[in-house]
Amino acid sequence: MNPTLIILLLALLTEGAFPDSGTKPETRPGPDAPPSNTEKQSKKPGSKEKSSLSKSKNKPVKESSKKAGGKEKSSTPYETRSSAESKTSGDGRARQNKKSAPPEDVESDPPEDAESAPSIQETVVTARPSPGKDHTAAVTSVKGSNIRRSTRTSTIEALSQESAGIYVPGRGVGFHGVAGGASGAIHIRGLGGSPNSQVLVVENGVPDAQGIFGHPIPDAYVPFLIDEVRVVMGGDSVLYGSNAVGGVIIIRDRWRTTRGWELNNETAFGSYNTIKETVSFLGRWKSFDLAAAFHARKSDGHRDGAGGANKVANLTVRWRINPKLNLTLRNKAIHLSGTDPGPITHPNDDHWYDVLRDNFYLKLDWDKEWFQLHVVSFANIGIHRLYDGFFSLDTTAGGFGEWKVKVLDNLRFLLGVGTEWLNGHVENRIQNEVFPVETFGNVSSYGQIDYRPHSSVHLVAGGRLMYNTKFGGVIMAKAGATWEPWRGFFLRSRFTRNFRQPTLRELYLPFPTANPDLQPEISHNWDFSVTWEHKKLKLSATTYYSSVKNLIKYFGAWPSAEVVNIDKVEVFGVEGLAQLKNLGPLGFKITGNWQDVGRYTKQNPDAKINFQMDARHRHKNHSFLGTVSGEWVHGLYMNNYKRDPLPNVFFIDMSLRYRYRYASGSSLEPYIVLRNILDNRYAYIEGYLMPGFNIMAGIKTTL
Amino acid sequence: MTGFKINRSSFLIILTTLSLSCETIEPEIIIVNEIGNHVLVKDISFNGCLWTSVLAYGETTSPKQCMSGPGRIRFQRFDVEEYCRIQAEQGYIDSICYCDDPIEDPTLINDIPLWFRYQTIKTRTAKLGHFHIFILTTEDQEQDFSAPGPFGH
Amino acid sequence: MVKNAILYAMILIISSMATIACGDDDSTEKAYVRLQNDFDNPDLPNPPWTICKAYYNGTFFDKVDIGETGEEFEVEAGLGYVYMILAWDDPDCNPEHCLPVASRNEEEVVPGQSRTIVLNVPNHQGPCPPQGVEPIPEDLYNQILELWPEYEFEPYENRTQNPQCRD
Repeated sequence: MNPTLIILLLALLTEGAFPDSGTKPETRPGPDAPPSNTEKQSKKPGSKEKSSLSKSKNKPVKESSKKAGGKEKSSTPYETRSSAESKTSGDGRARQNKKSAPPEDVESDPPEDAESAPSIQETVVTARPSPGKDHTAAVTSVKGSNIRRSTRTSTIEALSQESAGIYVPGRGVGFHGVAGGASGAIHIRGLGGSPNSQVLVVENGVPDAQGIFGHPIPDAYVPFLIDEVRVVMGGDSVLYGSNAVGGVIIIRDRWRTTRGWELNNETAFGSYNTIKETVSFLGRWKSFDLAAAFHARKSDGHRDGAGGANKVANLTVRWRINPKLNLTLRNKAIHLSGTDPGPITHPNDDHWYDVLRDNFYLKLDWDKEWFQLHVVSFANIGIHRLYDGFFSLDTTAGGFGEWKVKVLDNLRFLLGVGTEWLNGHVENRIQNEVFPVETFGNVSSYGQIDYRPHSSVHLVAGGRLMYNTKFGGVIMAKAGATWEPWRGFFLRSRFTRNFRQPTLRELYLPFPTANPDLQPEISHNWDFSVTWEHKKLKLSATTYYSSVKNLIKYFGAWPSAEVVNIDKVEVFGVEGLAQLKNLGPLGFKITGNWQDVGRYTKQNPDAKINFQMDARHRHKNHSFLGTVSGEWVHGLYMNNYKRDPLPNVFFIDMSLRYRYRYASGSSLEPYIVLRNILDNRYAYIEGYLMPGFNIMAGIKTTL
Repeated sequence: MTGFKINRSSFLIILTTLSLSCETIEPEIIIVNEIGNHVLVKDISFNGCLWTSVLAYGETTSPKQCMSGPGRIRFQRFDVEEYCRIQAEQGYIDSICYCDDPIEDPTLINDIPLWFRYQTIKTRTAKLGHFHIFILTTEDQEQDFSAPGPFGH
Repeated sequence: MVKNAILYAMILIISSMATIACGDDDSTEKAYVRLQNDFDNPDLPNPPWTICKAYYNGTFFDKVDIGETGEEFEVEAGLGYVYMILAWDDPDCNPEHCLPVASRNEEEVVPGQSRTIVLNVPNHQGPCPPQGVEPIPEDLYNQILELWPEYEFEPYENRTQNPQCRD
């Protein structure tokens, strides 16, 4: 099929203006805590930026509008640029903010039904001050609604589609599994990979480094409740601790913002007997909020042995003790089962895996005018079983307290203390062999200063001191700045010193060997961005350099392998963004990345381009959305030293959505996703050929 | 409203049909062992499909939908005649071979027959919507060194 | 004025960061390697191979007897196979008992590293493999023939016809 034809078809289909076709400025608060007062006002109900679809969501909007007349405060130089911009038409200039959020509306998240935000993202690694704890960080921000609507099959693949600096090898309609190979490996600016231990996932403020192998499991992050995912490029161990070397993926779930309840259901069926069912329920009554969700997906896979299933259940309850004090309790359970099909030339026979995990946290948030206090305790337990007799039970437990205080209008401090402990039991049940594992943990204190000497300048500096029971003390540091010398023209730069502690596997487990004397990896990351924004055009370029010392590296093979701290990775790269917005019903975005990763070329490509085009149309209660997106990956190798090159990856996906909204506010949204419409034969990993043209169709219901 | 329901139902039917049709066009493959009447093959694979059954001469795998495109057929091969000949040279295995010589080394009886890895020399191409019968022959096979052994001499 | 000051400050910060980030550089591309003859590993089969000659990343190594570890040599850092002449059941390395063999793994050393490369049953590939031993690829075989032509091994097509294979 000719892609040009598809684009023309889409354009014809969506002929006519669509009120919210422009991109919506970033208005999200930090993901790790309830939004600050500064942030709250940016989502003030009745904002001029409110999309037409949001307006038509009668119940919540009306209710919110009634509360829009709360107390007001004058803005300060400290107000984040992003929040200020939420009231503008996108030219990036707004100096006056009014705080009006009433206590009821402490959360900003829109109801599910208001998922009318454009698919093309506003915030993708630009020089503009980023929302979140560190306003000088390079951030890719993706709305949960965009992840749910992505043509890609997993959350982390959807992130890869949004930014060229994130590279995730796909697995077709199947599952990434335990990421023992390369599928699901997350590379951020050349760091990370398989296992994903150089990338940290933080879910609702809680780090999700999982026990034995010390890395996240890609299939565990399903987007049913996600409000926003923010990827901090260049890492940030000062704020997030170990593993935040290449980057931090910060996932924040949504809450209902107004009294009442909402029920969302999505059922989909597609090629290879793929069935997906997702149901989520959000409620808000008196002093309590509830967010519950269940997700199940099953697929036969596009070839023998590529199938599997995952089930994820989530229950979060928040008690609003008073308008400033919240207590949140959350439990998330995951069951993942599947098989590694092996390369198509030599398929595996029944190489199955089975993973059961449970995450729990209890969080207290105290949000006063001049300070915020967050106290979190968490536990993460997992049972992993493999076809070869491997069995592991791992536990990660910890907690932290974080205090943010506004000393002056333009000066803020963040102080924190944290601890984390890891333990595990590993055995091979076929060989009746138990592998001893020693518990280890750490305590750390950290701080950050955030200073705005001038309305156009933002400076951030911070440090963390960590003591680990295994390898002693480690010092982390960072410093960054943003500057807007002219209207719409931004410069930013940041330096971070990050670390990754060795995993239990690397320290104790003979897979294929271990070394209990390993020390943490230390990285130094630096980047510099230039961004120019105009009403209809946005251009951004970033250059970055990372160096990881004390690299934990395996040499040789069983039975004479060794793992030692030696060598360093050096990565230099540039990435860019071009975005056209406010072009009637159309939107277009392209991101590109080129990097030199030295000899560490294994599954770490030289270049990547992602593009996306959106077209929208709305007529009364009917709305249509069509997207065409694609990815091109160049310079893929199966091994280091540029050995075993692979052909370029290139594919185009397409989706068509129609939504009908009833007068009651409920809606129905049937959709169809067409993947790899050119039926290209491509592979991210040698021998793991991706599926050809395939389809997924479903219907979303919102009550 | 009724019209909308009808439209929605039609839409879902069309989508389901499209989705199913996507799978039905995957090529369907069967493989026949015609290497020799004394050669068994097993673990046959082609374009992601794996047949774990053992095929005697003339036997056929069950049909499977495999990925389209070019590929070689890989399999493990056991030459019964060759195995017996080697065993007979060194011993007497009453249950397998009709050998008359006395047992020289009884431990050989416990030798595990080794299946060696082979692949076709020619590449086959599976096309969408086609039903293919691929035949393994003596002329079109070579050792497959791209996977861990055993390889044989 | 303020803007200029900020501009200079930014330039200073950025250049400092760049200096910190780029400050370290490898002063050497050399590494140090020993070869270990592990063909007497008690957990593995023990074919009686003596390592008579070896070559790895630009350096020739001396003979290593079964169970021994040779002396350390300076090599170029990088990735490469260990090319060897192995003698079967002959500590004296008489040519009639020798065969061209390479390591199974492409071994790596990084700048400044001291490493012992272990050669044993799973880490070798040869021209006349017994069942289960990897057959040596043609390019590696030819490389060994180039390194030690005096052994006059058979061309790759006839590699299994080397006299030592027929014993």
